[in-house]
Formats: sequence, C-alpha cells, structure tokens
Amino acid sequence: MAKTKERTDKRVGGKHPGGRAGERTDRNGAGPVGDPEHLVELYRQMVLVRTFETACQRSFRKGKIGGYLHLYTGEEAVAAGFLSAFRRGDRVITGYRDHAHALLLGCEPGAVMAELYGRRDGLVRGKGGSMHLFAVDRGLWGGYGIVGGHIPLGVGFAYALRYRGTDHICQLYLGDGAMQTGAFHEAANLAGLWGADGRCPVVFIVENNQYGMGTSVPRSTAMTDLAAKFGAYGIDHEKVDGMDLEAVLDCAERVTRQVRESGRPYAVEAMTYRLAPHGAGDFFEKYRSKEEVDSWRDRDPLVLLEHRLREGGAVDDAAVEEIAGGARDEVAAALEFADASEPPPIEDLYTDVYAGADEYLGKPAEPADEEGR
Amino acid sequence: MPEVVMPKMGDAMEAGTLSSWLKHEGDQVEVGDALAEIETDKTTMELEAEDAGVLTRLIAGEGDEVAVGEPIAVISADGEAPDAAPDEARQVAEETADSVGGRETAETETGEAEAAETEAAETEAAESGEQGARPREAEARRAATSGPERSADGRVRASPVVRRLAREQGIELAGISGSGPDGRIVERDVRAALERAETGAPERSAHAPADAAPAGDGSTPAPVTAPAPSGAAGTELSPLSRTQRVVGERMQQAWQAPHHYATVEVHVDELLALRGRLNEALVDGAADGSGDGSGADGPAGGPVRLSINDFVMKACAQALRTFPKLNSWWTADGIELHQRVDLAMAVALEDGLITPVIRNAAERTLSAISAEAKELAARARSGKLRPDEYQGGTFTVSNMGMYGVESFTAIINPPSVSIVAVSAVARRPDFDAAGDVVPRSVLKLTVGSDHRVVNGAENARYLAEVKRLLEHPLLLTV
Amino acid sequence: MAEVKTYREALREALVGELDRDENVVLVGEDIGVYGGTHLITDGLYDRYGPHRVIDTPISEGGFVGAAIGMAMAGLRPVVEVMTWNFSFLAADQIIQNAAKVRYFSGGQVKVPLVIRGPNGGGVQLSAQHTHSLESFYGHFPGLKVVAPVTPNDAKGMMLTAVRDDNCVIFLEAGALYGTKGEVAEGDNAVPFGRARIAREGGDVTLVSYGRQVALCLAAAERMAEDGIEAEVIDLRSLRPLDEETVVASVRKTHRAVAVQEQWRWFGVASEVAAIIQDRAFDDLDAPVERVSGAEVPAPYAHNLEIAAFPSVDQVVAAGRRVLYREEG
Repeated sequence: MAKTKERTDKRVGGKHPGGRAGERTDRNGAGPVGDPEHLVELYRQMVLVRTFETACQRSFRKGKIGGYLHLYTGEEAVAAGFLSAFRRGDRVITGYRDHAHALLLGCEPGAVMAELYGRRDGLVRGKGGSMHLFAVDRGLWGGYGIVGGHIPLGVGFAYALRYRGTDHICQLYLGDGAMQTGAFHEAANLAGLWGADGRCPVVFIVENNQYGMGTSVPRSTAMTDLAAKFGAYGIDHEKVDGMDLEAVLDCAERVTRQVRESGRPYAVEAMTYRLAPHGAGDFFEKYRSKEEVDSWRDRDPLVLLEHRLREGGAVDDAAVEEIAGGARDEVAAALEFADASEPPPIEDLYTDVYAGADEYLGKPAEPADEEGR
Repeated sequence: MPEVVMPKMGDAMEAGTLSSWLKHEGDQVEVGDALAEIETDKTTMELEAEDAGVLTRLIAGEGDEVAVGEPIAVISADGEAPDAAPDEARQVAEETADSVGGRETAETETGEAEAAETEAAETEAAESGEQGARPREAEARRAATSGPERSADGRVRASPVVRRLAREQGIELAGISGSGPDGRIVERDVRAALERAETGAPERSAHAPADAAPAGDGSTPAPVTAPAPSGAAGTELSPLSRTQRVVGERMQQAWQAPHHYATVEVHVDELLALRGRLNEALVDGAADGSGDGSGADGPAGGPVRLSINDFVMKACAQALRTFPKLNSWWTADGIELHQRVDLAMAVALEDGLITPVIRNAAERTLSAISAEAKELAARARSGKLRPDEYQGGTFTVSNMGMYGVESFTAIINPPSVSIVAVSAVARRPDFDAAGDVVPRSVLKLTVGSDHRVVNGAENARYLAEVKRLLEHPLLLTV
Repeated sequence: MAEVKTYREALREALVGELDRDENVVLVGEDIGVYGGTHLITDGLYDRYGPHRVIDTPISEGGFVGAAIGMAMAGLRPVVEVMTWNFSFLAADQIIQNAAKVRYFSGGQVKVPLVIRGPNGGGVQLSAQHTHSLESFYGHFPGLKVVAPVTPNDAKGMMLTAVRDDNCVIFLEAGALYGTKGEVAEGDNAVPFGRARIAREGGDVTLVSYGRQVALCLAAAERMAEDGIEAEVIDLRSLRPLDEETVVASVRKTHRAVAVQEQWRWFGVASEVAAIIQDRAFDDLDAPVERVSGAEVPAPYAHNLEIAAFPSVDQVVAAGRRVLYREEG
C-alpha cells in the first residue's frame, strides 16, 4: 500500500511536480499537455478506480456484496479532475455513487472493499455499506442514499465553513436526476441567497451521465440545459466535457479557486456517461441501446487520457502495463483484505446511534457537559 | 290495598325466592290461606295470607328473588281494581331483585356500610341464638352466584396485583367474590377479605350484608388455603351449592372452639328390655283406644314407637339438670346458662345437616320426645322446617347408630357448648361381677365439649350420669 | 432565585444565553429575524445578533432544515424553527434520513448537534392541516431525541440542554402554552432529558401525560380529589428518552394508570406507556392501563367540534374512576 500513500501525500498540499496547476489556461477542447507527471498520476488513479469498480461488479455477482452497488465506471475523469483541486480542510459530499471519491481522496482500497463486504475493517465499520462512505479526516462527508437528499447538507457545510472564517470550500457532487428533486431547488436557492454576499463557497459538480437510473434527461427534464438551471438561483455556471480529464482539471482548478476567493457558489455541469449499469441490479439496461453505450465507449476517459499521454510521450506500453498491473495488484490486495476481515461485533448494532451515550432507551441521558461540545 | 310482601323468615334473611304460587291471580283468598311457597337457603315455607280478598295481582314471578319487604302480590278488598299491568309488576319485581345488589354495591362503595354491617353482625350474634345451618339465604345465594367468575378454562378472574397478593399472603381466591367487571377479583376485594380475617367477621360477598358473627367467640377463622382445581383428566368439578357453602362455613367456625372428648360404654340390655315392654304396651293401648296415659300419638296418629335414641336423648336432657354448664351458650359477653333444655337432634340431609330442636326435653316424656323427634325429622328431610324449629338449641345429640358406627366424635353446634355422639348397639361378650363371661349389649357415647366452658372432669362426670340413667332406664320414666 | 416568566420568555432566555455563550449557535427559520418570529420567541434577536446568526429563510423547509443539518455536521450548533411542527413533514426526509441516521451510517464519524423547535399540538381552531401532535411520529426514530416541556422553567432548562446536546433534538413546544406563566430559575437551570416530573403526588391512580394535557390531568386530579381519589400526575416532558423508572415506580405505588395524550390513540405514546407498565409492573396492576386520546379524526375547525376532538377533564376523570372500579361519578 506504500505507493498509494505516497500519492496521497503528494496531493495533499495541492502541489504536484511540474508546476502549479492554477496557472493553466482553459483547456476546453484543445491545447498542449502540461504537467505530464501530474497527468500520469491522475491516470494511475483513474485506472485504479476503474479496476476497483470492475472488481466490485464481479464480487457482487459472486454474492460478496449485498444491497445496492452504484459504479462510477466511465465517469472517472470528473471526480479525478475535481478532487485533484481538493485542499485539506475542504469538504466533499456526494450521493451513493461514491467509491471513486473515496479512493481519490486517498482512502485505502482495502477499507473501501471491506465496507462493501460489510466487515468491521470497513471504512465505516460495516455500518453503512456502498452508499455511505465517510472518511471525514480525508474530507469525505458521505455517501447518501436519497437522491438529492444530501444537497442541502452541502450547502449547510459551505455556510458553516465561511461562517467560521475559513477559506475552505465544499465540493458538492450531484447527478442529473438529483436536479429534479425539491431538495435540489430549495438548496440551490439558499446557496444563491447566502452566496450573494459571499457566504456560501460551494461548487456544484453535476455528474450528468445522461440518465436518472432508467430515465434519460430529455424524458424527465423539461429544460435540459442543466447548467443553466443554476442561473435561476443566481449561481454562475458552465459546462465541461466530463470525459476529458484535462478539461475537467482546468475547470476544477479555476472554479475552486474562484469559489474559495469569492465565497460565492458556482456550478459545473460535467457531461459524462455511465459505462456500467445504474446499479448492480440493473442487469438488462432496457432503457438504452447497446449502440449508444458502445458509442460512448469511444469516449472512455481512460482511453482518451491514455492517448493523450502516449501522444505527449508521457507514457509508453510498459508504463501503461505497469500502471494497469499496479492497479490489479492493489485491487487484488484489497479483495484479500476484505475477505479476511471479520464481520462487525454484534455489540456494534447499538453503537453510534447517539453522540454522548451508548444506552438510550429507557435510560436518562446525561446532559452534554462543557467538554462534549 | 294490602300488598303481600316478602316476609323476613330468618335473622339474616335479605331476600327469598318465590318458588311457586299456590293461588292464581283473581282467586279469592281467606286469611291464613297458603299463597305461595317461599324458598330460603335451608327450607321452603308456605306464605300465608294475612288479608282476605281477591288476589288481584301477582307481582313476583315463579323463581324470582325478591328482597325482604318488597311486594310480591296484591290482595284487593272485594271490589277494588288492580292499578298496574302484570308486565310492569314483573318488571318492578326484577328491578327490586336487582336493586338489592345495586343498593349494596353503593353501600360498599361509600365505605359506610362496612361499619354498619359489623355493628349489625355483633347485634345479631347476641340475639340470634341461631344454630344449625343458618339460613343465610341472601348471602349464600349471592356467594354462589357471584363468586369468582370462572372463565371458560376454569380460571378465576383476578387482577395481577390480586394474584400476587394471593400468592404472598396465602389467600385462596375461590373464597372471594369479585366486584370488578365480569366478577373480576380486584384489590379492594382482597383487602376486604384480609380485614375480615383479622377481625373475625365471616366471609361474605361484596354484594351481601354481614351475617351474624360466631357468638363473639373472638376466634379468627383463618383463610383456607385450598389449591385451584387441577382440571386433570378423570376429575369433575362440583361447585358448592348454597347449602354446602353455608354448612361448610358454619362448620369451619364451629371447629374453632377447643373441643375435647370423653367416651363411655353403656350397657343397654336393661334399656332394650324396657323399651320392648313399653312399645308393646303402647301398641296395645293404641289398638284398644283406651289411651295409655302417655298423652302422645305417634306420627300420623299411629302408636308411638320408642327408639333407642329417644331414650338416649331423654337421658342426656335429664342429666343436664345436674350439669347445667353443658346446657349453655358461648356468647360475646360470657357463658349464658339455660334452665330449659332445648335438645337439638342432628338430621342428615342430602347435601348437609340440620338440627331440629325438641324444646324442654328434660321435662317431657319419652313418648312425647319420640313423637316429636319423628315428626321433626320427617319435615326436616322434606325441607319444611320453620326457623324457630331449628334455631335456639342448647345441646345436641347426634346418632350414627343406624350406620353401624362403633364410635365417633361430633362437632359442637355453636353457640351451644356440648354435643353427644351416639353409636350403634353391639352385642359382645363381657365379664359379670363374678368374673364369668356373659353376653352384653353395649353402645358407646362420646361427649364433646368446649373446653372454654367445660373441663375434662365435668365432661366425664356428665357422661357418667348419662350412662347411669341409661343403665337404670326406669329413672327415665319418672 | 427565580422569577415569574412566560413560557415564551423562558425560551427566549435560553436562546439568548446560548447565543451569548457559544458563537457557533445560530438560529434558522422563516420570519424569525426581521419579523421577530410568528410566536415572538425570537423577537429582538435579529437586532442583537445580526442576519448571519439569526437567519431568515425562504419557504423551503426541506432546504433549510437540511442546510442546518449540514451546518451542524460542520461544527455549528443551529437551532431551527419550524413555524409549526405541521410544516415539518416537508423536512421529514432530511430529519429522518439524515439527521437521525448519519452518525450511525457513518460509523460514528459525524454528529448532528441540532435543535429543531416550534409549536406543536392544537386547540386554537387551526383546522386539520395545522393541528398535529407529533411526539410518537418523531419519537419513533432511533437517533432523534424528542422532548416536550410544559412549564416555563422546563422550557428554558430543556432548551439549554437541547442546544448543548450533540444530537438532533426535536423540541416540541406546546403552542397553546406560550403565554402561560411560571417560576423560572435564574442562570443555568439545564434540565436533563429522560427524567419525568411529578406534577402532583397521590396514591390512588397514576395519570401519565405530556404537553398541553398535563394541565388537563391536574384539573382532573382536583375533581377526583373531591371524591376522595388522590391522583398522581406525571409530566413525562421527555419522550425519547422516556423516563420509565418514574412511571413504573408510581404504578407500583398506585396499582393503576391512565395515559393521556392529545394525539390519536393508534400507535401513540400512551400505547407505549401502557406497554411499559404492563411489562414492568404487571404484578402491581389492579386494572388494565387506560388510554385517553384525541378523537380518531383530522382536527375539525368549529370550536365545539375541536373541543370534542381532544381529551377533556371529564374523560380523564371517567378513566380514573374506571380503573378504580368506581361507577362514573
């Protein structure tokens, strides 16, 4: 696991070899490759995510993972790009398609897999499962199962971060489906309201993968320009090609800096695509054609990035193979770790229901004292 | 317009059942005519008309339970008309019957009745002199009908706290009536039962008033701890009848007196010989109509036929002249000596016992005693005794000789303090004065007395006197 | 030292105390700032603490309750006002799915030190949609704490405890009692959760209640005392956690209980109280536990109908007599 740790350390602090990302110009669509080492590093991370998600699907089909399983396959560039702009102290919050965010924030793959396996060494000790990944010391604040339900939380994070006088921001990931919920609209309105005087440093990152489960955006959304909806709430916005890591990276560095400085919210609609089914139970994918999926495979972000890197000479076959092999090894180790981990002790059934007291039914709780605050 | 009301036919009677009408609506009745049969706990009596006229309305129906003093019929002086429809009358009777319970419930609720009833109980104890199976009609009847309600599986209905108290205090729930819904025994019922146990008041249901306490004996009948029925295969549960319940309770109380016994064997050959000669003479006297001077006719006008028991009763009564303490009552205020011997005679009934009384037995002749004994016994068995005929005895004789019993002890009949148990005559070899073996007829007498009144020596001396009289039976004829 | 104050003043005093003591405390709600609050609980606080600590929100219960949950997860201690608890249904997803559960499904990594407060219950002709009593609705969820203070002193004391609690506290104020007066202790009078208050001692029957119905039970107790029945009245005031000990000890003494609630009978707090009693004081019961509840209908508008829709003194007295096996008096 040493390699992963190094990568993490490198990222923390925001600097990477090869220059400061913040100086890059807007790369939407064209431009020279800059900072090859950084890009290779991001490529490595994206390959790890892809390999991990693929392994999850296999494990699920073997019955080792219960409940729901929502894979990020095909969307890697979005999280990889934006989380590259993460600074310690920022907060990340997303829905249930959260494995990538956990891995990209440096969580141990073994811990994530163990959580999916429902083991005591899981990221949240087996209490949450796939949809509820938290690693607050790394900035990951969940992991939520109700579509759109987390969005007001993120807005609240942002308010609190600014209220306490920090320059931290909140990266709030949401899907195209979440933008249909009342929770989204109310939260966006609050963000626009509070952000007007710089008190809501939230970046809305819309992972528009074209489908809310089985219903496409055009079939469910009256006005399909999702970025523009933010304008109704006074929030600046733009679109980005979510399959192009470099484009996302550029956008992320610029947008996060702007939000951090201004305290005002911003929204980015990242156009991307799920190359895996919605969830592991979505076997037949009746709502989209194989042709459509195949056409998007041509825009696989890993393939796109690999091309770019090869073109720029940053990687060759050996490097690609080494990266792929490394990812396989890491994921294999993660699977082994998860398999070997014990289920949580039965006593854990009753832990962490309340802060400050373990027994709560029928026993008076002690009032929180000064230290508990 | 004269009403016919339910008469009070016993000290503790609160209500009676009109078991059958002997007249019909519209009948002409004279004073003294039997109008109806009224059933009390122990006995059935005829109700006689106190007015003459037309029985214009029957208010109570057959089988109705009516409170003492409530109207059951109307006799109109000739010419008057009835003033209410029969249906309404029936309803009034029913309401009256119901109101007995309701009234008493209300009294119980206010808590005042308890004090009043205790007072009443004490007064009754002093006055009543009741003995034998007391006609606690209302209480017993209610006890039988409103006793702990049994649910379909035979369980007594009781609240959880009651069950706990019953466990802890060893109370038998079957003996407690429930005042809760569906006869549920609730806390106040158990509390009341515990209080009664402490004060010595007799068991009563929550709906009935107090009956007479045992004559102020101060002893405490402890609550009986009987188990719940097992309900096992091969068993059959027989809930207690009114009579059984009353007799049982009476016996429980009677047993509280400190009984002690003495037995003696009486040689009765002389008695048997005298009896034989007298019976012959009595038959002859009756047959030729000359009268035998005894002044007695047997039952149904036939000749008197003396039994051994008649002799025994006479002897017991006569002996009491010289041992007056055995002819007394244990009362709240002390030992009440009675000059007159009112001899109670135990008569077995189908489901109990009754003791009709032969008044002034010590002064009456053998034949008078004999005739009366037979007559009383017959009416006792048919349930036709009047209360004054089985109340007020001062001494009891109980004979089991007809069953071949060799000897037995009997339970004293409060408020009296002594009882004699008479066994069967047996024929067996014995020694005479010369030491030779002779055949002898013997019977055993066992006297039981209350040691608070009679000590062992007195008991024995009394018995010796009875033996002397029976072994010199001519003394019984003078 | 204690002063007589209204329930409303007592609440405000608690909020002011905590706002002064801890800069992380913020208030969130509709019209709580400039308007002073529809029930004047937060009157004057906007001027005192400014718009960033007394936050007027749009009409977005789901949004602002959710945002407040987020603030709590990010180190603030928000006190959210729902204008009435009837509007909380719009925020139910946030309260139930996030506030109650996130500590659990994060494996204990987060906590939600949040108070949601507002007027609860009926009795002022607000009709069906504005008249709910939500103790059992929110009391149902592990992860929430639910309290319902009755006296002004408890209003202040329990608000202090609520703000200081690291969990999401559903603070059900008896709206009809905002104007009632009582002695309120000065300074820090924090009242712990999970402890019931014995409002009246007695040995014959236990009346268990909360909220507006506590006064009803006290009135019923006075009536019963005229007939020689001494009722013990328990003000639960804390519903989750619920003080079983006090209730059970009382029933062990009196042997009979009546649970009184404004809410509907089905699946209500009184049913839970009855179950607790039969579970822990079975051998002390002389009668089944009675429940006196609101009529099983949406709340009507007409004054007479509304009165009939809620428990009355007569009903409580009748229930008390029933468990004593006395005829209706």
